This record gives sequence, structure tokens and C-alpha cells, in this order.
Amino acid sequence: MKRLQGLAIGILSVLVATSASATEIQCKGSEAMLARYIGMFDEVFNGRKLDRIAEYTSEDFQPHDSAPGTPKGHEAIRLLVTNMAKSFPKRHLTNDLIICSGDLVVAYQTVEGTNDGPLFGGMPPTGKSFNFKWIDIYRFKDGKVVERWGAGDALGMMTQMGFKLTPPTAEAK
Amino acid sequence: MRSFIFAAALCLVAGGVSATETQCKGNEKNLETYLKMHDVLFMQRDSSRVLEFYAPQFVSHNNDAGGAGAETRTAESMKPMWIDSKKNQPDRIMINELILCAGDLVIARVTMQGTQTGPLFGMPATNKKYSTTATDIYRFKDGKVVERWGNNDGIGMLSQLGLLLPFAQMQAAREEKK
Repeated sequence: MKRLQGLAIGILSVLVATSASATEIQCKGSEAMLARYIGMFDEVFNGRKLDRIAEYTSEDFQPHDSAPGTPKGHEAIRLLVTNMAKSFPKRHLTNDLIICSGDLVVAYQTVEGTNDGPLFGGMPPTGKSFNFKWIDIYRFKDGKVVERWGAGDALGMMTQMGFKLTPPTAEAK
Repeated sequence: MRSFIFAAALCLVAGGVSATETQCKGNEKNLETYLKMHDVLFMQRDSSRVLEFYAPQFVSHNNDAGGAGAETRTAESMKPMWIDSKKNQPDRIMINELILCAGDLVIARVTMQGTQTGPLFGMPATNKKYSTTATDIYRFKDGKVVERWGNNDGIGMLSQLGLLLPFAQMQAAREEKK
């Protein structure tokens, strides 16, 4: 089993090295955590395999950016992945920069896709493409993500999809 | 009165800083440089001191006034961002929540709080308060920033200010459902 695990990590490392030739990685000494991050990135976020969420994230998973009252734990990730899949079925993420520090992984990513599905549950798709940047920070404990801080240029994405800033209306004041 | 406000603001900042998680063992020099830059450029917004912290030329990835697209920028070109911020949102503070160091990089997760008392993205003052998060990455060489990456939750911020109509409408629809 151990050998198998070692082989899997070896294959993963090769995958990382080849698939992300432009990725800068600063994770010396944190190879195991890096492999877990890459596994989650490939299977859950790009692969959208909902049955792999529990493999990479803790039941106590705590997101730091969600609106108050939204779910935590596996359900938070499940909702995120399914909602993104509905609005942006062809979305693809690329790691530009991966940094490991202590129990944390920082990933700077390029997000590419097209808005082919309904937006935010109701709005009709814009059909427009986007390409913007995202930064995630993940805290790992026993190989699973327990915390996540995200910061994305979603405003740039919205602008690319044709949304405009509007001056405040009288009733909004 | 003014000194009272200043002291109160300082307490707020100190309160925020005491909660900062820092993982920078072995990278104390870059941490020190980041903390000084945070104070001078990001809190005081003293743009005249940009060359103390930024190399004359650096690469910027940020979709902000500093420039996106991994293009080479001059330190001089960063100044308007801080000048405008100080002029239009004088009360804006930036609290470090998490600071990580790895190799030549420093990563900072911050919360920015302020009042939009002046124009923002071409929109007039709303005089509303906001609290928004951001993550920034800096590459240091010889104690100066040579590369920067960063994103902030601009949508959250504009929603709080009532400037992003589609989001305001969505929010309203969601509230109604409840």
C-alpha cells in the first residue's frame, strides 16, 4: 500500500510538472500537502467529482468568504462546485503560482470559461467568455482542507460578462 | 478631538493586528519590510515613499490601477492609487489577518474598512461604509517589491455601497424568499 501511495505521489508529481509547465511552485519540504492540494484541484474543482469532496475536505470545513448563513463543511464545497457547473459548464482553472507555508497552501489561479448556463439561479446566460485571476488560501489538517480564504477578481469577470456599475438609486439610500 | 479619533483608530488597528496569524519563521526581513510598507503605503498612503518599498520597475498582475497582465510598471505609476484612496476614502484602514512568507514571497490576507466619501470607479460618493477582504502576494528582491499579485472582493464592496445593481437586485430577491 505504501509503495502504491508512493507511486501515486510520483505520478502526481510528474503530472504537476508536465500539466503546469508555467506554474511556479514554492513548496519544498511540503510535497505531501502540495500533492493533496493538486489532487483536490484536479478532482474536485476542475473535475467536479462531488464524490471526491470528502476525500480532500474536512467535515468541519470553514469557508471565510461565504455570505452569512450559508453552509459549512462538505455542503459548502458541494454547493460551490454544483453552482459553478450550472453557470459555467466549461470553466477551467489553471494554477499560475502555488506556495506552501506551514499548514497553508496559497494558489494563484487563472479562471477561464463562458457563461453558458443561468446566472445566480435566475438570470439568463450572457454567453460571454471570461478570463480572470483568483487567489485561494487553504489550511490543511491531516491531509484535508479545514479552512479556505478566497479572493477573486469577480468584478473583472462581471465586467467581462457585460455587467455595469450603476449609480445608487434614491431608494437604495 | 482629532487625537481622540486617531487614538481610537489606532486601538482598532492594534486590535486587528493582535489577531494576525503570521507564518514567517526564517523570513523575518521580508516580514519586517512588508509590515513597514503596510504602514507607510497602505495605511498612511504616503505615496512619496514608494521607492523605499518598490523597485523602480516591477511586474504587476493586479486588475487595479497598478496594472494587470503581468506587465512591467514603474513605481511612479503606483502613486495615483494611494493618492486617490487617501483623498476619497481618508478613513480607510487595512487590517492584516494572515501573513505568510515563503522563499522570496510574502502573502497577506487583509480586511479593508472605510467609508466611500468620494468618487470610486467613476461613481459618486455614497457615504456608505464597507468592509471587504483581499489577498495580496509580493515578491521581494533586495528588500523591494519586484512583482505583485492581488485580488479583492470588489463585488462585495460595491454591493455594500449599493453600486452593483444586478447584485443588489439578487440580494433583494433572496431576502424576499426568506
